[in-house]
Amino acid sequence: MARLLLAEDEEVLRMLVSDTLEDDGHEIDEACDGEEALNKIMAHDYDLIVLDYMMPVFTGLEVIVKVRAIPEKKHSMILMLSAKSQVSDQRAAMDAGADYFMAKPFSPIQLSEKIEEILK
Amino acid sequence: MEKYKAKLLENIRKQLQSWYKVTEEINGKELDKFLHSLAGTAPTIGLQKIGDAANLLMKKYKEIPEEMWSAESIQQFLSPLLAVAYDEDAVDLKGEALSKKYTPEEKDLIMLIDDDPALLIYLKDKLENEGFTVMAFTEAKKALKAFFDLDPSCVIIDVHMQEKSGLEILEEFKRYTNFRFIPAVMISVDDSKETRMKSYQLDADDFIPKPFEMDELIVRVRRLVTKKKHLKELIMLDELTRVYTRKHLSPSFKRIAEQMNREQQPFSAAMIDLDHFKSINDTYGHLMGDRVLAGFANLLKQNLRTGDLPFRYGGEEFLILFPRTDVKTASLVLNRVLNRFMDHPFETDGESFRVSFSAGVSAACLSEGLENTVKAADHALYKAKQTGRAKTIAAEALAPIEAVRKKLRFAVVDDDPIIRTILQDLFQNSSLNEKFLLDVQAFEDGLQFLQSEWHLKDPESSSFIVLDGMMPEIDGIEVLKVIRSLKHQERFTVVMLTNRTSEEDITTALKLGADDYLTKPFKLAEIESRIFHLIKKISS
Repeated sequence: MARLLLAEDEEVLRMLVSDTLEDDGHEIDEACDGEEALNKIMAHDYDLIVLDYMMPVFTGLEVIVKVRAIPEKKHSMILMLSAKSQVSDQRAAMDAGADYFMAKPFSPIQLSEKIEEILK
Repeated sequence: MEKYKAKLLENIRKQLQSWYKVTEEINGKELDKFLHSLAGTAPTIGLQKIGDAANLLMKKYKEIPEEMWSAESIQQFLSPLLAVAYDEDAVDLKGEALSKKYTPEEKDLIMLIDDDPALLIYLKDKLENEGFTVMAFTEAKKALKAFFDLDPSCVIIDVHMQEKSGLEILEEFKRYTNFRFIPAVMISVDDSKETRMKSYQLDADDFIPKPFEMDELIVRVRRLVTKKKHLKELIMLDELTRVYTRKHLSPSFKRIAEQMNREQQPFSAAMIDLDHFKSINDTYGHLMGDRVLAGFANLLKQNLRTGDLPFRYGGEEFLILFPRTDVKTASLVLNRVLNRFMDHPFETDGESFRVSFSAGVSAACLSEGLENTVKAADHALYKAKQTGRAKTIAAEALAPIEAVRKKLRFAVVDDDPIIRTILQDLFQNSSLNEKFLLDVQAFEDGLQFLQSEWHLKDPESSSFIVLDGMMPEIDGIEVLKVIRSLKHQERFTVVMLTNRTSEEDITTALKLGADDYLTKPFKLAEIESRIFHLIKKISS
C-alpha cells in the first residue's frame, strides 16, 4: 500500500482513477488544480504524485518545476498524464522533470498496472 | 463504469446549461477545454464514440478562426457530439445496438387500441423492437379520428375496454375503411366461441386470445402487414379513389414524355387541390371527407378524355397528365370538370353541400422532367388559391420557381440541454425542409414555454411540440392541459417524453390529448420515425 496524490481537474476521470487505485489498496489524496496539488505536496509525503498536464491555476508542468525547486521535495516520484499524446508533450514533461508519462485515453487497468510497476 | 458514464453525461449537461444561460459571448478556449477533457475522459470510461466525436470537433475547432462564440453557435457546433452522447446513453440503458441503419419509410405503422396501460406499453415496446412504429391509443374516439391521418398498416384492438367494446370499435373501423384493406387484429382474454365468431363476422382479420405468446403475435401481425403491402402493389390503384397511385406517376410521365417528344406533340400536366377540404373533414367528419374524395375521383374519370391520366398525388391533391394536349386545351377540360363538380351536391344528414377545386396547369416536356413540371403546375395552383379558388390557372412559363412551402413550427420543451440541442438540430436539418418552412424553437421548461406565448402565436400554422413530462415549476402535463384548452388546439401535435417506469404518466398524457409518447431514453431514430408518421397528420 502506498500513499498517492492525484491532481486532475476532470471530475469523472478523477473519480475513476481514484476508485481504481483505492481498489488496488492505495491511499489517495485528490486535487482539482495545480495550486491545490502544490499545497498538498508541501503538507504531505507521497510515494507517487499523479499530475494532469492541463490544469487550472498551475499546469502540470508548472507544478513539476516548482516541486523540483524545493529541496526537501525534489526527489518526489511524478507520473504525468496527458490527453495530448504527441511526442512533444511527452518530451516537455520529461524535460521538466517528470519520471513517467502516460497518454490519455488509457484504460483503468493500464493505469493500475503502470502504477504497480512504478511502485515496485 | 455506469456511475462514471452517468457522471460524465451529467457534467456535459451542466456545462451546456451554463453556456446556454449566459447572454454574453463565450470564449472559444472554454469550448476547446471542454472538448479536450471529453476526448481524454470519455474513452477511458468506455465511451469511445464520444471520445471520437470530441476529437473530430477539436480538429474542426482548430480550423475555425473565431474567438468568441454565441450560445447558438456552440449549440450548433456541438450537436453531432451530443447526438452521439445521447444515443450512447440510450443504448446503454436499453441494452440495444444502434448499428441498424434506419430509414423512416421502411417502418410500418401499427395502431394499438387498448385501455390497459400495462399491456399497451408492453405491446408497443415489443412491436417497436421488431421494427414497427406503434401509435398507442387508450380511447376509441381519438383512434378513429387519427386513423384517417395515419393510414396504418395494421390495427390491433383489445376486445375488452371500459368505455366502448373493442367489437364496436372494430365495426366502426371496418365501416370507415370499407374502401381499403386495413388488417384488424383482435386480442381478448375471452376466448369463447361467441366472441371469436363475432369478431370474424365483423371482419376481423385475426383473433388472438390472451395470454398470448409474443413471438406468435408478431408473426401473425407481420403476415397481415406484408399481405397488405403486396395487395397495394398489385392493384396499382389508390384504394379509396381508384385512380393511379403516385408511385406510378414517374414511370408514366417518362413514357408519355418520350413518346410526345418523338411525335413532336404538346403535353401538359395539371395539379388539382380540393378547396377547403380540411374544413369538410372538420365539419362533416372524415368519413364524409373520404366520400368527397371518392366522388371527385369518380367525376374526374367520367369527364376526362380517353388518354388523360389521373393520379392521386397525396391527401386531397390530384395530378393529371394530358398527352397530345396543350395548356389551353387542358385548362378547358379542367374547367368542364370543375363546373360539373361544383354542380354535384354531397348529402349528409339532410344537409347538402358543394365542393370546388383549384387547379394549376403547366406544359410538360421531357427536358424539364417531372419535378419541374410539377413545380410549375404547383405554382400556378398556388396562384389559383390566392386569387379566390374554384378556378384553373395556367403557368406562364417553365421558369425555375421557388416552391411554395407551408410553415411548420416546432417547439422542444425539455429541461435537459442535451435533448434540446439534438432535437433542435434534428428538426432544423431534416428533410422536412424541402416541404415546409421550418421554425424551430427550444424552451427550458414549461414556464418559459408558456410565458413565451409560443402557443398563442401564429394560429394559422401547424405546430409540433415535443414536451417533457417531468420538468421543474410547470411540468409537461400542465402544459398539455393548457394547449388542449386552446381554441385552435387541433393544430398542435404533441409528443410527450415520459419515464419508462411511469405507466400512470403515459395514461394521463394520452387521456389529456398527447398524440404520442416516447419513453426516455429514446433513440434519435425513434423520434425521427414518430415525426415522419405524425407529419402526415399535420400536412393533410
